[in-house]
Amino acid sequence: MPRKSCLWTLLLILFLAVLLFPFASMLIYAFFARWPADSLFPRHFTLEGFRTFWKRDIGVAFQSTLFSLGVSALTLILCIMAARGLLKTRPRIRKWVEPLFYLPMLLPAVSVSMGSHKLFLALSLAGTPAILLMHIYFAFPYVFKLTYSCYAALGTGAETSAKNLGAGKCRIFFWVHLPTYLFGYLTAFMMGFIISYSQYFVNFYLGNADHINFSMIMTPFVTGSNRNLASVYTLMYLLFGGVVLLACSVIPKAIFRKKGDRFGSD
Amino acid sequence: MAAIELQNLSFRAEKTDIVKNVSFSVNDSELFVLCGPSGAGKTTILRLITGEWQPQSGDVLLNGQSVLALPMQKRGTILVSQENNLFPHMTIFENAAFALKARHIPRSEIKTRLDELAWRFRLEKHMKRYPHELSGGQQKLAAILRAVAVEPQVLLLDEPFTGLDNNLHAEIRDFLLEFQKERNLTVLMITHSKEDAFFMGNHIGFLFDGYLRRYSDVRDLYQKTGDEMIDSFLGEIVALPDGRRVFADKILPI
Repeated sequence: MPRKSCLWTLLLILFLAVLLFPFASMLIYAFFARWPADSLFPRHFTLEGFRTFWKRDIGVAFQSTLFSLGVSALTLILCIMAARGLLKTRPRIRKWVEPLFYLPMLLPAVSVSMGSHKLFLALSLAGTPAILLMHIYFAFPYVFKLTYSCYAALGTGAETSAKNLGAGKCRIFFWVHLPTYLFGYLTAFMMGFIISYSQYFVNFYLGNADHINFSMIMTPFVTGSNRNLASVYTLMYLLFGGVVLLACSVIPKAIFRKKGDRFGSD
Repeated sequence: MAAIELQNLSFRAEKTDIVKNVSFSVNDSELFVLCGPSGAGKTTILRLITGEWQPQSGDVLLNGQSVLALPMQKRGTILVSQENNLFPHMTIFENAAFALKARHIPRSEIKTRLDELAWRFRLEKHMKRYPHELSGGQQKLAAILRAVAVEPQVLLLDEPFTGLDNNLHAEIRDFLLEFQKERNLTVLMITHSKEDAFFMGNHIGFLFDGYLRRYSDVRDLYQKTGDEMIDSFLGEIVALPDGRRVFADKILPI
């Protein structure tokens, strides 16, 4: 075997091992209560972890997923408006304004959450759905970057052309705008979802125990000693998030499969 | 009545005057060529006519009516841009039908009209293909087909021969000219090519640095104009007794 190929195989194995070992161990512990040091195979098959999750926290998982979907949708709408507004400004102004949208990336989540908590308490907003604002705050710069890059890469020529051809707003939106930018929007939406779905500090500080999300219920189990529960909750966390991300990438591809190279085939 | 009339049109962006007090008119069924070097403001004028941009001063009249207050969709002008801007997710047929559907033209008529045009543009075998499956020349023809399918009041062509090889350039140029005459289309074409301007235009406008320096019948342009910029741009032109022009090293029938 050539030396380069050997090294490549080794790297690939290492990469897969790093990726698969934690997942495999998580999968094993999700279905087995114990794996004593002297046994070759895990012992005590159990579905107790799943039962606990089903009885206690399935509602929170759904609620958390729906909440993050809502946050992501709202953030995307805001980012579309901001990106389109920014595109219409003069290039000289745009150059100075664009970095302002990325500022939330720079501030540490803990500091922002604590600071916002104080403000939320003063405004009697703690524990209210206003927590949504903080989720949007954290997701905004990433969603904006993806949305704006989508416009920068694809341009707005197709829409202008459609207007020039005499099409109305609705026709332009459904027949030109959506097919042109849909995949950029979906990527931005998925990013917004991941960020909101994984928020811990925001809900911990500002939720006043009224807004518990999946990250909050999962964290004590992950840091605790019950490996079965930790594995089940992590698995479920991945499952709920994964289903949303999979749906976001599969459904539009299925719709646009027949629409040429740019859609549905990769 | 002029099909297009620009009255003292001025446009300024980023503290730069791009179009400066430009006035000219294009008669009905005429092919008017706006000629000038790159960066002279030619494309800006087209964008002001379509309504993509709004002028700071002046007026745009189409068939005698000011259209400044009208949105792009209602001006009745169709622009074929340099980039073609065909919708990549639609076939050529769908691209062309898009504008017709927007005008609520019945499906049967859309089919008849596009079949005829496809045959005329020699694109009948390509109507079910996507833009990326066509060559540059075919894409250009498809963009022009899409534009003429709606039978616009005014067709605006922005450097329609950019990126085409010499043979295709000549072929599309001849075809466009023939089609314009056949359908009595009012066309405003912009180009930086003096050869195309002389070959195709009934009237030529010379735009330099945002100013319309001269606007004349193509038949009058056979000797020095007296304008240093235009004369330098055109080079040597000699009118032959049979009406043709010797244009630098090229002979162009006009």
